[in-house]
Amino acid sequence: MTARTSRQCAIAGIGEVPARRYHPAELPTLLQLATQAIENALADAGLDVSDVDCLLSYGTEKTDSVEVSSVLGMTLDNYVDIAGGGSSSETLVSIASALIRAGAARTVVIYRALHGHAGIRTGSGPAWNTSVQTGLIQAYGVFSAAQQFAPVFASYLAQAGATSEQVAHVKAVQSRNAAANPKALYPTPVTVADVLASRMIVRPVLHLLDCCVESDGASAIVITALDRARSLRQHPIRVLATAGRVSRPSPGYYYRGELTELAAKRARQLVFGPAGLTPDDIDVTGAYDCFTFSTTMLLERFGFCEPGAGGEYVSSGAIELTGRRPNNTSGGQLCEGYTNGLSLVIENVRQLRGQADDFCPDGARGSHTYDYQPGGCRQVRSAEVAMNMGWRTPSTQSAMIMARD
Amino acid sequence: MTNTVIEYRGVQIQIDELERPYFTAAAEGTLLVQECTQCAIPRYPPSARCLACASSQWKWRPSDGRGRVSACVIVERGVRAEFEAPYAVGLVALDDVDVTDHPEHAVRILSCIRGRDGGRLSEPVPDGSPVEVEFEPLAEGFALPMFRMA
Repeated sequence: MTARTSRQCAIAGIGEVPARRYHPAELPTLLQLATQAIENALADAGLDVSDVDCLLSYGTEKTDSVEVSSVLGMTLDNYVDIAGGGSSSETLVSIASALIRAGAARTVVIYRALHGHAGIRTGSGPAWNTSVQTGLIQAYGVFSAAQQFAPVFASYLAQAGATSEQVAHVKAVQSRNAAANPKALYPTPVTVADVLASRMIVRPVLHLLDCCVESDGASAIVITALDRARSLRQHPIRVLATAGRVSRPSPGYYYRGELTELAAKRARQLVFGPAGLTPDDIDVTGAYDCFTFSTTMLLERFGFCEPGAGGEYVSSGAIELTGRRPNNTSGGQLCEGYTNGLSLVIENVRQLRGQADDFCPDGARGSHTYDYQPGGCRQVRSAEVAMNMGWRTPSTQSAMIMARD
Repeated sequence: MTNTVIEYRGVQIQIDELERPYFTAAAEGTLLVQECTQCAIPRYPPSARCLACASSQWKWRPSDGRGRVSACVIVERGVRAEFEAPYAVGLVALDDVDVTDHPEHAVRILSCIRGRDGGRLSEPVPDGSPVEVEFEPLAEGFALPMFRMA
């Protein structure tokens, strides 16, 4: 490791309100979801709300830091709310680490709460003012993320020689992972054939089951200096390297440059170099799964397989719980629930702690059966190093490498 | 600075002085392409500076509106009443915009892709299929370039 231990940061606590699709009469407010997830993460770390001096959040419909800190009685030295979307989680961990190293913050909580099902559904919010300079996509009927990314995915299939069937393995594998996750919103295993038989959202690339779930829930994590984390309740998970919101050369990805080029090309240099690691050293991945295709492209472009071999990689068994490098072991955003990537970070923290909350009788005490049948275990054997990869658009990514202390 | 906002199928299209000729020429049946007068590299969407050489000197030049579509997809699940599915979307490269010497500055226009008769496509068309421009009226004096199979 190149970084000095004394200046390293660690994730010391995790918490969530598991994703659901609430009936309106039972729907918690966004503020309730956010504060509950934060309280759960602090309890996990063995800290109190009075210990928190910094809040970082994203996608802050009615849950910005001022509201959350007011309700929880926090006095903050730093708070930052950023525009939301995928890639925010790793980006905010990067900012949290920088603030802690600079001495500007001691205990940082990152959170995300959303009404992805009960609130505004994807693509159906108010139309924004659009100009030809900012990308005249809405006037051509392109609103939702599925509609925005589908041309890139179609081009990826054509170029890489990957097939829809290969990419559908991402969903099938994650659905089996979800079957070992009591929190999962969709815990029933599906097959590749089920994915391909589900109705088309955008032909020829996105079937319904290629798309993430829209759910109501919240996630939170606590970050502090490594030496302090060592005195707290949980085994610390070190943050080895982060790259937050990295852009590709032509951010207007439709219009110029190589259509399927990702920011991952640059982001991978920014994390593997400083961590002193290569893809071979990573035991578990969390590759942003707004769609099966984003996961496939990220795993390929971050170097977990040869260029063009993404479809082969995700259908080879490598990403399964029994494989070389399991991915999105909670079931991810395709099955467990959706909080723009923070839930994928929480899952990898659990994996590195050896505390996957599966159906093993003594799982909570870190004793696992490693029997990966549905309804059984999802703890990965000897998980020491994990990597998360975020995706906002094809031209904006983020990444983070974590390790068990 | 005179800006115009036109509502089109529930979308607010904001048109500023730089962009105005693109839409007014379309209303007269001409597709314009912006081209740098320093390095001659074309660009889309329109912008105040050349993305290749940063020059702020440029001109509009007419295109015959013939091109090739790639990455065509069919939206099967619409999310807006104003855009009833299914409809096709794709990226159009214009035949008379030559970027052979600098492929990184290829010009692609995102557009709905309509059938030869102006109707709906029910299947994605293969990369390289020929298309031609047509113009969708927006408001008096303004139109939106759109492409159909040639």
